[in-house]
Amino acid sequence: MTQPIPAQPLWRVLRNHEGRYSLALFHHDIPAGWQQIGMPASKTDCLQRIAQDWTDMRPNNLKEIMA
Amino acid sequence: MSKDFLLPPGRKLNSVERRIFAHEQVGELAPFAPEILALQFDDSHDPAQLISAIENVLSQHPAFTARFATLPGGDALRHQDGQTVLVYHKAGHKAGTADQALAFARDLRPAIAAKPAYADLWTDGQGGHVLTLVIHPILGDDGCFASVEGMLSQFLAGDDLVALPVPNADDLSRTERAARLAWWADQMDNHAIARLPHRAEPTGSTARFQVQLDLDADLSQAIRQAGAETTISAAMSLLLSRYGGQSALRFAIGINAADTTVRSGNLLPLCLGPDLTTGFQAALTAMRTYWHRAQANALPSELLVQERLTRENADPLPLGAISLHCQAFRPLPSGVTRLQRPRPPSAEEMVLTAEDRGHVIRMTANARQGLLEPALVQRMLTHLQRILQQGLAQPDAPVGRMPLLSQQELADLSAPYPDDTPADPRATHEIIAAHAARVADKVAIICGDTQITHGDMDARANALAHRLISMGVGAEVPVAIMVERGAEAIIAILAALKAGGAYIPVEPDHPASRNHHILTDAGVRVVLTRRQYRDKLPDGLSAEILCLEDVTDPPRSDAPDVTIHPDQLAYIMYTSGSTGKPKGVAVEHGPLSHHNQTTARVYEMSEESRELPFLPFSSDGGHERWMVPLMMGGSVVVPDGPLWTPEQTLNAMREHGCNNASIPTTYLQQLAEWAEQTDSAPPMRLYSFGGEGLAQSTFDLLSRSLNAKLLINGYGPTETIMTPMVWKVQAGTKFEGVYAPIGRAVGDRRAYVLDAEMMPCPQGAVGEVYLGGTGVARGYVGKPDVTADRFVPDPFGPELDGTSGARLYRTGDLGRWREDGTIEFVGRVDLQVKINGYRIEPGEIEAALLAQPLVSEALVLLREDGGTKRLIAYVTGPEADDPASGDALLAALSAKLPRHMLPEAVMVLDRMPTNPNAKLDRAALPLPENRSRAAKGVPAEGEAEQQILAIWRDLIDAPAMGVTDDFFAMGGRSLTALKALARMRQLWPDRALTIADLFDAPTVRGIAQRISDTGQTGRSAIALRRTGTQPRLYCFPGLLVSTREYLRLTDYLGADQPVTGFLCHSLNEEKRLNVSVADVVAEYVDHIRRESAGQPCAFLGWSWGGLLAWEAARQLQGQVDLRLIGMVDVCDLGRDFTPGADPEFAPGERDQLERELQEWLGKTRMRPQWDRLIQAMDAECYAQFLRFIGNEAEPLPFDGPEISSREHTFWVLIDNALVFRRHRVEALDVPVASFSAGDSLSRGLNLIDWRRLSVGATPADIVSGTNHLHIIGERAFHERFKTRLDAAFAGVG
Repeated sequence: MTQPIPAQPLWRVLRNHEGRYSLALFHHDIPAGWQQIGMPASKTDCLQRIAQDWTDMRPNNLKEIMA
Repeated sequence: MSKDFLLPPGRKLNSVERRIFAHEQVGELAPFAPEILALQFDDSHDPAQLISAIENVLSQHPAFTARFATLPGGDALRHQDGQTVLVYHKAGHKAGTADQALAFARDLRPAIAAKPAYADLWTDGQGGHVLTLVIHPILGDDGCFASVEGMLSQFLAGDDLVALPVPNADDLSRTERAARLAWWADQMDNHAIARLPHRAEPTGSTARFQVQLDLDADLSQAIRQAGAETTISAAMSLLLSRYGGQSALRFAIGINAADTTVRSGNLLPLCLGPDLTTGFQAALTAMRTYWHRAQANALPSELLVQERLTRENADPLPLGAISLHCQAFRPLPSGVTRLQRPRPPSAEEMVLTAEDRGHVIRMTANARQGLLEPALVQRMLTHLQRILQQGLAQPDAPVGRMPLLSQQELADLSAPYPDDTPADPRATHEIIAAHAARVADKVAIICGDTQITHGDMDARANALAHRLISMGVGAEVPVAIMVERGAEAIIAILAALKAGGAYIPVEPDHPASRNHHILTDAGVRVVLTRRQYRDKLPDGLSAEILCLEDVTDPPRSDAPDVTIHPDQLAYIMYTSGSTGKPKGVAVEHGPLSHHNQTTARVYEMSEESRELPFLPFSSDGGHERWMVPLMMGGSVVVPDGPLWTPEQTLNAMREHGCNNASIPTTYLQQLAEWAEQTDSAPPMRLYSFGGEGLAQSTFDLLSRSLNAKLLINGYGPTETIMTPMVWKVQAGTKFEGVYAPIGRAVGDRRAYVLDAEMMPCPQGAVGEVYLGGTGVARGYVGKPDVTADRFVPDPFGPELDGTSGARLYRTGDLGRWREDGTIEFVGRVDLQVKINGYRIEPGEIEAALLAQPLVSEALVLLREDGGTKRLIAYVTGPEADDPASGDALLAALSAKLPRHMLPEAVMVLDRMPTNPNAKLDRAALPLPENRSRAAKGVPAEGEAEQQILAIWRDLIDAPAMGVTDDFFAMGGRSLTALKALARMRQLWPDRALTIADLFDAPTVRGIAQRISDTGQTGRSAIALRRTGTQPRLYCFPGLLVSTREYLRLTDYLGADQPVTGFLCHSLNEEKRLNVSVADVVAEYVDHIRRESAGQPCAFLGWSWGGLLAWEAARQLQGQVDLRLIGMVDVCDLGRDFTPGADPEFAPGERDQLERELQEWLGKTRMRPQWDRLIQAMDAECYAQFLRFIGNEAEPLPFDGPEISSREHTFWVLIDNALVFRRHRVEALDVPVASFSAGDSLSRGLNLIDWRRLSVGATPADIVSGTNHLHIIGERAFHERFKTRLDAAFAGVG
């Protein structure tokens, strides 16, 4: 039957093996190589979380070498 | 006239109904009694479904939608108008046992006038229900309830769309008909017509092609079970939504009531708003709900089409451009095979038939050849099949996420240019440096008088790199290069890279605010610049500044020992966004080097390559174009100034023996124009260009004038590194579409066109372009959130390439996959507009404008003004003060674009307004009213001018109008002209001013002149175009038309075709009554004889004007060389006023009509005119007049005598009837080309078949999608008439 349409679609924060962040709609599958960070939330909240967490945008590999 | 008298007849009662009606009137129903049907439903029935089924029956079955009315004589009529007073309580209102429900029902007393029917759904407390239906016996009996039960069973079974017979329009009361029409108008206004992606430039061909697909037996069976019509319609709506991106759309569905003995086929629009986030089951429910509402409002399709076509700019296929027809399986006895069954009419752009053949359902698409691509239609059928398959298998899965493309299709469409060469792991500058050792003495850079070899370049870069390292430059350290484009900038960049840093190019001459932002945003450690630019640096900059003049270190051959990690930053490039501050795009070495390597191979570069890179260094494309040649050991010729003329550019290419050039698209046109004019293009191997959409005309120009073998159109946002997509072709290649394709991805990338649900779009459908693979930037410096938003997880890489954790960049550009798999740029996502549910790409309209001669810039915007949205086009190039040029451009667009894409106005500007940053200032663009307000406003001189000006200003509502402003350009229309004329005649009754005067001299001053010049006024012939080399065309007026209606045709026929229009007899001040057609025509004939005696000429007659043209031809036989008569929708008058046709009246009807007439004559202000007209009638004609007004559905109007009033029009109609009633059209041997409006045929107008009257007549050419009034302005008619006219005049002159 008809699913209720959420007023605001849910998104989730995703991070890949290189430590790069992104986000995707909650009702879309998570593509291989990405994992969910935290709970689904509105797009604004997800973006806010990324702005807080992703402070060093260098890929993980480079960070290790430069460390 | 009394209301009852005008009521349409409805249906007279049959004998048993009449008897029951009489019983009701005397108050005693016995022996009849209320009819009761009671049904009990056990708990297996879902209450919601039960309620829905019952409500559908109640809203559709004739027993519940009937109404009775009494005529004055006592006769009663039965109307089926859905307005019955049904008392209905649905479940939840009443609870009780079956016995209680029955007892309640038996007590109900339905009455014809008040409450003729009751329906109650009882809840029995154990999950079951009891339905009681109580109807007045006049509504039906047991037989009637049989059909109620049948209908209910069908709905309960979730059964297919049950089509009721469409009522005859005459069976509905006027109010009901109006209510239904209004319902449809509302539906159609809110659901845009769905179309499949079609060819950019459709041919006018009417040929059709057919493709088909058999759904396999299992799928067919599943569809049948779910209800074929519902399922296929719902799937179709989803398909069209996916193809067109529309959320509210319409297409037509054919309705064939089974088991009728007469033709009953009807077409109704399906107006649906598919919700792509819900499941297929929800789509089926939505489809059924809509269907029931549509059924309750069913009307013959002709009525709907007629209503739509009366609107300006109506779509020619108002019910839908696509129609769906489901043909149910009809079993035959064994041993009998059906070889063919009827097919629906092939009227729409695509007609889709789903024929259930018993084992399989056969889908057949019949489509317009010149419009739709057969391959696209074939794929569309496959996609429809996929939606049906997936939808039925997973009814709750969101329909927007069903893949339409197969994995293989997606892999092929998204694939990059093939390139198997393994990537060189070295960084860009390392590969460049390797040549220094190998070909040290070979020239690397030519700039002005300077020539630098690979060896020198490398040695100087090494020296600077060592210096930079000493200043702290290393991995991830930004170094700004604020040096003008040239050899030194390249060396400085190489030095920064060799030091391990990331360079940021800064253009010294860019605005200080932009440069200050760039220099402070990314934490620049060192600024490499020149002394002369020092004062351009911001105060308090924490970076160290190194001026090139101060670097005295000698060149050295040893490069610093720096290891470059592929993830390390190579550069940061600032984008020039139109809003907000520029964002720094950070690009890493690995993807950069890989990109440059594959680009070199795709561009077929070698050590021999010598490139002239004209792109600026502030764009990443500019850097690609020096890096790649140097990486191959080739060379670059860098312009020493930003403003080379085309001549300088071409000379430089020739002088230095360039074989490649990379040029911004904006500069390319000038270059190609110059090359063409001077024939001075040196031979080149390759031109590459990009930066903007490349219009077809520009591409053709450079293709023919630039003397190059290969052309590459590059595309790419900075975020996807330089030029991630290219379209590489041989010069001379033709392409279809408005912009040149942007091609395919380059390197380790894929390019996708995705919809809002991130699903790949089918070929042809517009979506957003996404680019993915390793060739994307790291992101935006210091903006993790914006980076995450634009660089999204790649859902396709894992399946297609086995990648994991890859990202796609969302470009914000719209594109579509073309038939050959390359991508075409369509516009920007943020500039896309929606009007009336249509998605419109301004870029497409702009390109169409740019293709017009003289237009040099075009911009299309959605302007909101007082709450209404209007699409306005702005152009520069043509004469800005000529208001006609905007209209001419609009007319040219109307031939190329679908109607919903036509801007409301094209405004010609001297130049586009810009703000201080040299960007377009949208707010400063004028709105179209400004044009009419921009009247010259010359004040009136003298009393006559003052009086005329006052009248005109008032009628046109143009207070600023002056005496030299054009009446029509200021907004005057034909009817306004007639009103103005009427008021001017009151002032100067002795001057016979006619409409012709207003057309010939459409200014206040011009008319005032005519009034003072006696003898100038009152002609009936108007020269619509005075001169031309072709023989003259004479246009004869229809009822109440002036000659302005022929102006669009005159425009279309072109400057060579002289045209004269005649003024309508009814608009002639000196008209006499009861004249013959021969008399009316005499004046026209005199004019033609004076002008064209012995000459070839042609006539055009529209509506009744055709009869005048015919009569003129008869009178002019042997005096002119009449080559052709064009007959446009010419109707026979009909028998209403034919002499000898004796009208019939019901007893007493004639007296009643006379009374009505006298009563009305007592009220009307046109009494004198009517008296004159009625006095001119003989007894027979007067009787016919009475009959005529008796047949009119509307009451007689008395809003005259204003010229646009209904009463005046009615008077003219009767006046004309008197003129034409004795007229007999006789056979005449002249060539006739006849044209009929599709709508006139649907109304069954009495059109004349000219083949009965002339051996030189051909069958009528039907102009569909237009009506009697609009045909004369239709482009399709103009085209066909011109063809006939050209043929008729062939060999003349």
